[in-house]
Amino acid sequence: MTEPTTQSLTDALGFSTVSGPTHARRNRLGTLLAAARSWFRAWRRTRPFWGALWVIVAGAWIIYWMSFDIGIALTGGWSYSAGYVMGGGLIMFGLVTWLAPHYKSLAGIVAFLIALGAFPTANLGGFVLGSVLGIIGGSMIWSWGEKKPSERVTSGG
Amino acid sequence: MSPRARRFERTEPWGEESGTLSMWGRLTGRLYRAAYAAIDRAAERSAEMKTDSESVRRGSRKRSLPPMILGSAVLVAMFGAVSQNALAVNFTTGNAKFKLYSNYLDAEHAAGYLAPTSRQGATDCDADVADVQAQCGVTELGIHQAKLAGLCGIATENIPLVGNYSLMITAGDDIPDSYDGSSIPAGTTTDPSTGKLTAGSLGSAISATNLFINSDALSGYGNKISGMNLGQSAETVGDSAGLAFEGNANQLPRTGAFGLYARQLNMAGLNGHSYGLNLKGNITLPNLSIKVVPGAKTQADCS
Repeated sequence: MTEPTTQSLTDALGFSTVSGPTHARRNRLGTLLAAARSWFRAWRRTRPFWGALWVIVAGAWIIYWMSFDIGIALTGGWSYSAGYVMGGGLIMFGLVTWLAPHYKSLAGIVAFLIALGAFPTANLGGFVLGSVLGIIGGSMIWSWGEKKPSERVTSGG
Repeated sequence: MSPRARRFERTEPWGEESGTLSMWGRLTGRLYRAAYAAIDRAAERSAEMKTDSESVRRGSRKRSLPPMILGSAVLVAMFGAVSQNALAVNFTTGNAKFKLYSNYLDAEHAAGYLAPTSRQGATDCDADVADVQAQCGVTELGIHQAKLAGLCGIATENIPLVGNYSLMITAGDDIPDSYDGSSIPAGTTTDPSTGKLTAGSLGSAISATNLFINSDALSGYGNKISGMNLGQSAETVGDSAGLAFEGNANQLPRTGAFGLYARQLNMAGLNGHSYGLNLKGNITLPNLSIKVVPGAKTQADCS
């Protein structure tokens, strides 16, 4: 098995300097998958991945229980659009956390507040579950940062 | 720069390299250089990300606990406020078919007409099968000021791999196992002349303003309904009840279509299949409880 961590991505993908490095080209799909996995792991560990995931799930759950025809949501006023506004806000701040992890403190606090605000406005916050997930996710995003080093390096993200 | 990208890099001076006479050669050379430079940049960035991810261990720290606890406490406080009639919430569902039960509905100024459901792609009208095009005919019943003695809503969802799960929302008085359809359920106190809720039942009633129910089946015992007008032209019932119906063009009441208006509509033992419970105003839900339980549930499971 090759060691994807010691290679640069271009080597792992088969864009290599050496003409025909057999170790990289023998099993190109496997190498590609391993490279994708290690890339995803690095991506996951450089941003508050799990908190943002919970926030996005919370938003999707709230929208699921308040999903109306988009025409009605636009014309029907607050009671029809609240699910899209609150759930959409949660999804948006989850994505912001993923794509721009610098804003994690702000995104975490806003997601937390939206999750609380969804309770009185959007079906009791998706029947409580959406609000709870949003609060947990928002707190996780806000508190994300450097941890004490430990022997086990498998967890994290 | 990777050797692959360097291969397309300019080595000879402008205008003297091979292939420069053909427009195609110049263009593709430029495109290749740009593409390989982009790949190189992406690789560089992910290599940076990788060293960054391996240098320090990051994650959600212990200081996420205080906001979590605070948030849960606020949520519990809001839930309590809703249960004690102190906080009004917006409660609107447009998705699945609900089973709806109530001991008594005391509706001032109710208006109804026939309309399609507010959401496409809900559950099929006859069978409980998902159908993306399903849009069913329902009664759109609007109530200006509604008081409900007890409320139990059950929505059953078939979750893949897990099976049936029911969401049960109960509020107000307890719901008995069944209604007989010809009398007021025991324990519900009503005014003998007007049929409105009084005394104990009024105190624990759920009150809602501008409540709209989309349902394809509603049954119950009509008790002392007054000022009822059946067959009123549909576009006027909203004005009679002081309500504004909303929706897209084919959901709004049409001129000359069948409409219903009642100044005071009382229904005991209300039992309905509803597609949505929409609110333009607010609702107060005393003794609120929300449960998610496995299996398909019926009225007998409400209390």
